[in-house]
Amino acid sequence: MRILTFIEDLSWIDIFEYFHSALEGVEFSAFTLDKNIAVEVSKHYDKVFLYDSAFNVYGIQSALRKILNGDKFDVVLAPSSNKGRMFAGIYTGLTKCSIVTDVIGIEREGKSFIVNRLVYGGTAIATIHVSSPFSLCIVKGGYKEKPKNRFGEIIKIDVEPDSGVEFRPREVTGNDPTSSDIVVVAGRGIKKKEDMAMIEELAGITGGAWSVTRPLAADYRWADQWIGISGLIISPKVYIAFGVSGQPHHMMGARASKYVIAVNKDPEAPIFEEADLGIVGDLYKILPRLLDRLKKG
Amino acid sequence: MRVLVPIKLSYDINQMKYDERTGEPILDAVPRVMGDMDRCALEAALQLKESLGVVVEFISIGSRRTHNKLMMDAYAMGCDKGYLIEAEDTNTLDAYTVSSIIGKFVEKYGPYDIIIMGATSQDTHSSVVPPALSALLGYRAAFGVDKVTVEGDVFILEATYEDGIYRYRLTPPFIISVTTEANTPRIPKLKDILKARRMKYEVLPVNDLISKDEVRKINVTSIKKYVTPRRREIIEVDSEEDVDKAVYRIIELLKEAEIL
Ligand SMILES: Cc1cc2nc3c(=O)[nH]c(=O)nc-3n(C[C@H](O)[C@H](O)[C@H](O)COP(=O)(O)OP(=O)(O)OC[C@H]3O[C@@H](n4cnc5c(N)ncnc54)[C@H](O)[C@@H]3O)c2cc1C
Repeated sequence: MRILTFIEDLSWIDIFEYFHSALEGVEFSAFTLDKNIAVEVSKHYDKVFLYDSAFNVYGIQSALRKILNGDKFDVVLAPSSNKGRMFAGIYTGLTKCSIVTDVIGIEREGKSFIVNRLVYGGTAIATIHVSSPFSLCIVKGGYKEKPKNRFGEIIKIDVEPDSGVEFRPREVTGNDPTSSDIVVVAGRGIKKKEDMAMIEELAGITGGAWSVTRPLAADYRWADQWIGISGLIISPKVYIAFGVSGQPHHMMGARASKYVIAVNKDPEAPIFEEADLGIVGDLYKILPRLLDRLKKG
Repeated sequence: MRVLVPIKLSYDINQMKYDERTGEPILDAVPRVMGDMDRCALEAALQLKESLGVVVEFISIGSRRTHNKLMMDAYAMGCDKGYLIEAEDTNTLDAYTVSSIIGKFVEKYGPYDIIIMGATSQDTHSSVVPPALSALLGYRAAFGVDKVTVEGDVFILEATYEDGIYRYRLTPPFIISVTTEANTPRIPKLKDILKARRMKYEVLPVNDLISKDEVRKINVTSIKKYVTPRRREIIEVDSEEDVDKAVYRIIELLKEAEIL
């Protein structure tokens, strides 16, 4: 198996290594948009294609066309993130291969593979048979493997980025839900923007990060990212939610958490179905008391 | 200018039902609807119709039996012309096949200046048909767009990804996909709904566009309800003491998880 991976950030090296083994890969190539990532990745891959540019669809189309002129791959792996899906989608359009997104597991069966993916907003798992060539977009989960040492060459791909693309990076705030052990999440049960201070305070005291459901980010603009299928997929030790109902599109981003704690005043809220600890009550009573206790030590 | 909006009939996943015993979905009991993002794609196109006078056409893949209401919904919103590519069991078509059907349609019935799609479908949420289609057609593109503005003949398209905001300046032809942040879809008035019922859409057999061997299905062997193994300890808080008890349990769990 010749495998091409799309490396968005370094956390994916260990995850893809797991899939490299599961797929019984023999030749490993990576594609990245970042010089520094390319250097790190080259230590564990045979070949690294570096397209040194801000993400842009047209540029990636051209870069992939160029790569496919000389190289062929049996499998493409990408994160199930916005960019990962776009990368794998473009690859699929160029090569006609099949594609499965939201992948949470893989097993060999004879000459083909059995892939598990989340469907219906993460409420179900579909088991799908695929044979190469195919692309997979993977959901961050428990699978990891220590990457083997390889000595890859970095191959620069020179193609013009789409002339009209401009990139404004997210402000670095130190609040990173994707790499924290605990993520405190606010839903619409939080009534005013000022009350977000309690959520941020809890994240601060526990050394974690905070985030929100989509309505708080997209409609109220209280945050610029959210947890869920169309936002961030997280896998912390603890996900603790205040006033989150637990709709499938949101929970799909939180399912990989080790423990789920939910505070919601509605006993029928779906989030209780998937909580390790569910508190049925008013968050405005519970959250201040929790902060109080933690501050007293 | 001609704008094409491909739309999909999706299962309403907020109303999913599963067989208690087998864990299998009971899809016949789940309503099928136009996805929210597809509605936003139509709205984005209709706003261009109002501001620039574009012609808005739409296409779906399915059967008359299942898709008639979807087609009427798109007409009721104000679209000019609809096409239904006739095929059965469309929810098992693989993403490449869907893109190639739309791609062939564009080649045969186009040219279209702009193609607008929903960023992701309600039920399979793969988000890969728009990028695959862009690669097939070799179009410039922007996906997951949550803001569309027009400046002269340049379209400014803003999309937010994990690492920040991307702003594209594109001139047609191009393809975009939009999120629910892009706009608020109009709700058709009763008279538009009644008018839509008299509108006809063109029905084209799928094999006019791609041959039988090119129709690839996803090889699904099973679908089962996903139950995350959780402890489901529930504490009901009625009194002040209950608040303390709840807080105590949260702290205990945080200790168990080695957060504290
Ligand atoms: C295609 C698509 C993609 C989507 N992607 C995402 C996504 O990625 N992420 C996402 O989050 N959403 C997403 N959504 C939206 C999602 O379906 C839900 O609408 C959203 O997650 C609901 O957010 P919420 O739980 O904050 O609000 P609500 O559903 O309104 O829930 C608020 C909860 O707060 C509780 N509450 C109110 N007051 C209190 C109080 N004082 N104390 C305790 N509890 C209280 C209520 O009982 C209620 O359960 C998507 C939707 C679609 C259609």
